Amino acid sequence: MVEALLYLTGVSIRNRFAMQARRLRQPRYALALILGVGYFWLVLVRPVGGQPGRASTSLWTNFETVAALGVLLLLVGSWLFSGERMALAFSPAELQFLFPAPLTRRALILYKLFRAQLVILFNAVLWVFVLRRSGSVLAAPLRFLGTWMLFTNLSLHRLGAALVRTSLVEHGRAGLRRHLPAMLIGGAGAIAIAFILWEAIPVIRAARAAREIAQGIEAAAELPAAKALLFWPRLIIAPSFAQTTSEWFRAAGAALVIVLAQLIWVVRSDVAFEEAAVQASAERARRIDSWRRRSARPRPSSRKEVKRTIPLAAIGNPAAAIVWKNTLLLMRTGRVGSMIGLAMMAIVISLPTVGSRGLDGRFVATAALAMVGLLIVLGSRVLQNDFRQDADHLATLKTLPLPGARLVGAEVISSALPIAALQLLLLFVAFAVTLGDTELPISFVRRAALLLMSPLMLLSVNVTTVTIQNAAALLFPGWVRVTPVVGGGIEVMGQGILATGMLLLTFVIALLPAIAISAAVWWSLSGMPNGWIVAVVVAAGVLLAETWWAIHGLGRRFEKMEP
Amino acid sequence: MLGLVGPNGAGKTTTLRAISGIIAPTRGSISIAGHPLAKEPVKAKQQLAFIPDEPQLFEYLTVDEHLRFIGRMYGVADAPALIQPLLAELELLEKQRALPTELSRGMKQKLAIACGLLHDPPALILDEPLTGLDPGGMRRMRETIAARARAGAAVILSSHLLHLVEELCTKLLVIHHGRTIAYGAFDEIVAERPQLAGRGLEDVFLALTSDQQ
Repeated sequence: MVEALLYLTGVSIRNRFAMQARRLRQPRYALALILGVGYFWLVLVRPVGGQPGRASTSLWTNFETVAALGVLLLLVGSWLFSGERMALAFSPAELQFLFPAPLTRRALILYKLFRAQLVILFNAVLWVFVLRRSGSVLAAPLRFLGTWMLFTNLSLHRLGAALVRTSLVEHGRAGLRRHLPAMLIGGAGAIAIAFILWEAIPVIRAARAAREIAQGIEAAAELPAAKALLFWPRLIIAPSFAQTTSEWFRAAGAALVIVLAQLIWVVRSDVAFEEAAVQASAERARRIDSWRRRSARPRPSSRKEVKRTIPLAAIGNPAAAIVWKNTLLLMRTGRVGSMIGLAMMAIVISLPTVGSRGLDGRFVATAALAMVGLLIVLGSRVLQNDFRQDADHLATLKTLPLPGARLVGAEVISSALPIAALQLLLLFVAFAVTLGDTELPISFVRRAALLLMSPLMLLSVNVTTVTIQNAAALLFPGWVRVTPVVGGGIEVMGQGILATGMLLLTFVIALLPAIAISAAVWWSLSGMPNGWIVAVVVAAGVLLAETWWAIHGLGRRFEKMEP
Repeated sequence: MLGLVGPNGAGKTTTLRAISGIIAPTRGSISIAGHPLAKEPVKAKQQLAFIPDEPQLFEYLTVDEHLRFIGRMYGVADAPALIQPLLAELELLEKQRALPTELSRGMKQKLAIACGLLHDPPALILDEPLTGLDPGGMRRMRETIAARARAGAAVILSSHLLHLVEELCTKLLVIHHGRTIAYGAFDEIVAERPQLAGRGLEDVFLALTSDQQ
């Protein structure tokens, strides 16, 4: 049976690579692979200047405590959060073929651990590259082994905790008694985290830099109780933070013992996990499908949210129904919540600085404006509340009695409006926090005028960027991921880089006529006070006209599309 | 009511998708209620409803919201008043606030059918409409389809359930490899082939399609 499972794994990996290799015959994937490899080389492999081991030792030490706390959080989270049952998830095919197969539970668990090792080994290699500039003087193989032990320990603990939780659900009190020691450890960990954070909060609040925050946590972690509770996490991470080879060998022994102890704990726990595994697998399959389709997953379990709706008049422009539908999607996937949360956070942070004359107000305003700029460039890539998430329903969309251009227009508006709303809120924050700042190079009147004109400017820009994204999905669906990707690798990342680059280039090209015409208008109105306002309006108008033309073209393309 | 039958891969779903405007026909033209689909797609689509074999629902809209969406899309002024009776007819009232992920396969099918019926289209295109329904649901669906046809709707029904086609349809279109091999009322088809006299639709269908192979 072991041979069969090894065969399954080996052949799956071979076929996956073979499929990716075959795909490289297509120029778009070959080009994407080159870009993906280039990106990895630039970020992870490229030689860097400076000597290794020159990072500040004190910062490294402080970070070790923060890392230990992070590990403690992960370990305790395994016991507290129901989502951690995902550790029991198998693939749909594994469920269908392995569960009815003549395999013991232990064999299934061992198979799961084996599959987990493939991921862990890959991640450990990746982290060796990621952390090579962290200042560690250790040789790469030792860094790899340290990271492997850390990830393996976390993985084993997560699986063990999931099994214990399942046993508790299955056996009630009997299960409780059986797993009491493990649960006590989890509870103690939760208390430790609360304790450390409580002690560290005053220092963190007073901190002005990341180093001071780390020092605050370090000081709190030095308290006897916290020290005792962080003992185990420190043992797990110690090899990764060792400064010398001898130090590494001393630390690795303890970490390896923990790996073995947890392995015995997991393998020996004879828990009837099948039903929980089926549920977790179904949830995982749904998440993977949602991720592949680039759509956030719905949360049907939350009845409260389903009751929340927005009215839709029975009669009116049918295109409004598309916007309505997409807005409901935004509400139900938490995307609106996160957007509003982000904006609210910006407001809360900026409240103490409203009307201030100091640097704080300028800092908040700069941050808000930077976010507005970021949203202009990346907003339409991140928020895909338009045709891109509706592509799966192409057949349904095509039966709707709506001209293609109106449908595409409605889809574009569905993304452009929320992005513009968030940007406006951020602009308002920037304006409010600099109300009392009379030393800014831009006068109050001009700032107010810009704020008043921003809805038109932002809407025209967002409509343009979202239209470009939708155009890519409609015209080049192979380049913009609107359908599930099977067996994606580095080339998928390269594909994303290429698509982003091309889309940004298209955006710049779309801006050129608007800039040229508005510049000409501004120049011709050079004698007129506030002639720039007319120029900005003209620029927005040119952008909107370009978009209107593009949307009509895309509408015709949509009408000819076949699912 | 036209029954569209044919073996797997005959082109039934492709035909229905072309009639519904989802894909364009490679040859010929399609008109719905006098509106050419190629030239007046909006007016043509306004007159029809297509219910696919695999219901494709919007993950984030509840049952009720699917119908409101369709009501607005097709300009059904009294949609709010129609939704409740329609949901009751299809036994979906209890699920009106449920998202598709909470629905069984049969319920999803019922919802897709409800969406098709809401705007009372003069042309109704059904691709395997009974897939996933329980026996009671199948009977009610048969009655619903028949009632729509009696009320004057043109219905095209594609199904492998030949007894359903035999029971409901007034005319048959048998296709194979994308070509028509028989068209007309069942009696007319049999009358043209004396060797099939006295046989049921299943025997006639098998004889017709095996001839072509």
